[in-house]
Amino acid sequence: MSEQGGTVDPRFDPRFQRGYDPAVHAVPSPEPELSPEPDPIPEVAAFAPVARAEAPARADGFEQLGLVGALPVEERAPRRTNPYRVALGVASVALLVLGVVMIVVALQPRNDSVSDVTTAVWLSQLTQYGPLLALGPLLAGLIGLLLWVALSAIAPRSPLDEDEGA
Amino acid sequence: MSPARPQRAVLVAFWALAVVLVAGSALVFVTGVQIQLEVNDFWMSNNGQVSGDEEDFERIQWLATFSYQLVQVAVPAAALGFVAALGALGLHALRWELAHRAR
Repeated sequence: MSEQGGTVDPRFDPRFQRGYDPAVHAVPSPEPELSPEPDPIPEVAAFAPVARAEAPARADGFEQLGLVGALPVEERAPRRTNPYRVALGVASVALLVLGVVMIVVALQPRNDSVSDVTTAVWLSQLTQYGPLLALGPLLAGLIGLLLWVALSAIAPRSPLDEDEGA
Repeated sequence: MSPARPQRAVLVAFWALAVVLVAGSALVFVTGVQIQLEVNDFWMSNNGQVSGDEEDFERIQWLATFSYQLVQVAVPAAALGFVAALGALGLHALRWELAHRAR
C-alpha cells in the first residue's frame, strides 16, 4: 500500500489515514482542534413535536433556515398566477364575444327573397341564443367576482401577500 | 377562520350538470328546429293548405307548438349549462387559491 512508511495520500486529511504521525504530518487545519472527549450531544430533541410546534406556522423554508434577511426580495420564488382564474376569465370573455357575434350575425339585413328556408329558421333561432349566451356569462362573471372579493376578504393573508402589497 | 375548500364531489357534480345541460339542450334545440323545418316544408308543399281532415291540421299544429316549446326550453338550459361550467371553473380556482394559501 502507498500509505505504508508514513506516506499519506495528499488528497485527503492525513489524520484519518493509516500511518498518521502528528509529528510528521502536522498540517495546519482550518477546522478547530478536536477535543479528545467528544462534545456531549446537546439535549435538543431535533425531531420532537415541540420543536416543530415552535416554528412559525407560515414560515417557508428560507425563514426556517434564517435566510430571509440574507436573500434579496427579488430572489424569492414568485407567486404563481392561479391558472383556473385565468381560464375562467378567458371562458367568460369568449362566451360573451360569441353571444355578441351571434346577435350581430342574426340581425344582419338579409334578402327576404332567399329561398333557403332552413337558413332563415336557424338564424331566427340564433337570435334567441345570442342574448342568453351574452348575458349568462356576464352575470356569472359579476357574481363570481363578488364571491371572489368576499372570500378574499375573509381568507387569511399570507406574508408573501403582504410583501407584494407593500 | 379559513373557508373550507370545495369538495371534489361538488366539482364533479358541477361538471356533470354542465355537460348534461349543454349536451342535452343542444340535442333538444336541434330536434326542435328540425321539427320546425319539417312543419315548414309541409306547409310550403301544400301551399298553406291542409289537404287532409281536421286531425291532420291538429297534428301539424301540435308539432309546430311542440317544436317551438323545445327550442324555448333548450335555450335557457344551455345558458344554465354554461353558467354551471363557469361555476365549476370558479370552484377549481377557489380550491387552488386556498390550497396555495394554506402552504
